[in-house]
Amino acid sequence: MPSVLLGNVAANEMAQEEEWANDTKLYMPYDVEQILLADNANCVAVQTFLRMCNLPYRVEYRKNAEFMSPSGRVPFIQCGKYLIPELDHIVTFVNNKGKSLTGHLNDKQKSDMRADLSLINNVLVNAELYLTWVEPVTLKEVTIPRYSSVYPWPLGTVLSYSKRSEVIARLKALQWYDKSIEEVYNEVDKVCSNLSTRLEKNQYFFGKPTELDALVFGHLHTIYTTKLPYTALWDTVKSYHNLIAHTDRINSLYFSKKG
Amino acid sequence: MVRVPVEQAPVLDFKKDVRVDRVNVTGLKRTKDDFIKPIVRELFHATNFGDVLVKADKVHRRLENLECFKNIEIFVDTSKGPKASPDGIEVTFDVTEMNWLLGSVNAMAGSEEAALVVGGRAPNILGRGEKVQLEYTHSNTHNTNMALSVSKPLVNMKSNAKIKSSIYQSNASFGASGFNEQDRAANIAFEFNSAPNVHHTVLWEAVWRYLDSTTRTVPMSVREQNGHSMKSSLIHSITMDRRNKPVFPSSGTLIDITTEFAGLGGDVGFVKNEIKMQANVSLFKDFVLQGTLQKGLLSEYSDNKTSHICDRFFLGGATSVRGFEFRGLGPHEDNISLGSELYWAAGLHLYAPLPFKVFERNFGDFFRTHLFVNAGNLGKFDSGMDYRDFFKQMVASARMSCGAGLAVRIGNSARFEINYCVPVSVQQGDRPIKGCQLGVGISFL
Repeated sequence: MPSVLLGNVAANEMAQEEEWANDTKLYMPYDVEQILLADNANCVAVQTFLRMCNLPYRVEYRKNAEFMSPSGRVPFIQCGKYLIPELDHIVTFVNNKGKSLTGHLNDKQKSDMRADLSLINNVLVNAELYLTWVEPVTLKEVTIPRYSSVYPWPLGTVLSYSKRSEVIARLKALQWYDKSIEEVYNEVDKVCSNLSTRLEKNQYFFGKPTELDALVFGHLHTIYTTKLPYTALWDTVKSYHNLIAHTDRINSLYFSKKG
Repeated sequence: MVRVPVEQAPVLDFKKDVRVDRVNVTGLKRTKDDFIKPIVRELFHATNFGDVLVKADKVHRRLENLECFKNIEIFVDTSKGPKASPDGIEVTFDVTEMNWLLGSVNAMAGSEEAALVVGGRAPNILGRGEKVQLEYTHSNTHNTNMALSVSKPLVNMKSNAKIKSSIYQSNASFGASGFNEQDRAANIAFEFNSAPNVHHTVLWEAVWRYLDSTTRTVPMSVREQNGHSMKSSLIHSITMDRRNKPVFPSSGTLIDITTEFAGLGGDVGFVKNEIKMQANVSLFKDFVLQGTLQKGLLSEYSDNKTSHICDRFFLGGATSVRGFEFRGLGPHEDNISLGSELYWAAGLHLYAPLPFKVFERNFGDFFRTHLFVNAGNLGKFDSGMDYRDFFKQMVASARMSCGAGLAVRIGNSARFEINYCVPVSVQQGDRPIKGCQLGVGISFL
């Protein structure tokens, strides 16, 4: 079997003809000692989505997953001869194979969902990046030890600060760098409030599990399970009981060990 | 007093007992005396006239090696003056110091690319041979290198010893293997001669490497090596060059042995050894038979520290086994050359001057025609294999090519070749070239 790895456009065109590979691999950084908040959220979200679609995959932990990825972001999957990074592209790839979680949605709902996904990616992700790379105590006590744990001295420290410059440049461009920490928590609060209102008393955002449920779960579960020097992030989230219930439900449905 | 340069001296008795009374070194401005004294000291041990000339030549070479002087003339005369001894000799070295700052623009070539080297250096800045050099290299394939180095000869040691340190950054693209490599490194080296023509270099180097993929279709076995790694290694290399000339030698042998131990810190660990040998025999007229043999072995010794694709050996190309594309021999995946941990390569050449005495007078020395046979193999020894079977396989599945061509000397160390190659033995996955192949470089198989 040829192992030529193709880019997204070619992949999506050709993928329709082929079945999902049973030995699909999901590449991500080491989740215990290395991975950071925003990346972890995305990795959990992708895994949740694949489980929702009942598509088999195997996790491969690599310390250089972000450099292996065709887009530089984690996670990415290798399905047969295709390499697909990030949740959005993976959802498109899966949809092209005929599997969709949003088949029951009308156009308005689909556009609402896209708006929510976009909100999470623009606000929650940036808030997480801010807390990881800009907040000084978290940076020193959590981020740098974790990011440099897989590299020898002094490479780990050099790479950490280099990555920090990259993230700060991105946050500056999106005008997040100059926010204060309180403003950041406020933004998180606003997002959670929006999502909570959308969810109301339902089990899922749109009746049945969709990629939005996967992404929300990815972020909230990560925030819950990541130990940070300040609990303010979790405190902001936990006041939204329906979101917490949603997180618990998805966790027990898709991630609890059975038998 | 008549000063006569050594080359034009009248017939002299070389066995005559003499005593060197004085050694003068004129032309020194910023160079310190205590730097020059240890070098010229050995002249005082000369016992007869012939010995004086031999030692004067040695001192001349040592002064040249300092790279501080652009012109060194030797004058030998009888000793005069009140303190002169009978049969006394006075030797004078007249040197011209190099300028404080020198610039250079050079062209350089490797097997696959040509490059421009722009640099500046300050030779002898503090008067004891300290040299600071900054060099930038840019090739036509967008490979670049920027290096800052400092060096100092250690004249108190007899062996042309030198200590040298540099920091550099290089960017290179290896499309044949699917990766780009960016290296940032610092090193410190100690060079010396343990015997004439036997040159040692002991080097410690730390390199921060970053690999990334050249295209999106690079196979996973190369892609999974992307990212950062740090190699800290100790390298010892010995070169024993007893050939009569570096380019187109007609006699003599060359042996080059390099051993690298990586793993003093960093996350890269391996032991790498490479041996290259060349022997030249003059046949009738100007025909020279040359045989070369090379081998390399890379082995990992630890589970925690590994080697990467950029540490492996690659085979094939105009300066390696001819008749194959660059890195075109050995394990391939989707046309990407993966390299391996063990290789051997051999070459047999018959060099001849241009036929029909074409250009013999003017340029004949720059050209040679040659017939060649090149062979080699590249593989990996798995611990599960029986080593006898492995060696049999390394010979049985060897690649071979033969051909003929024209070689042109460039300067004193490099040459250009244009060959017609016929690959004779090829394995699946290789990228052979049947036909014309061009190559430029310093070291060929």
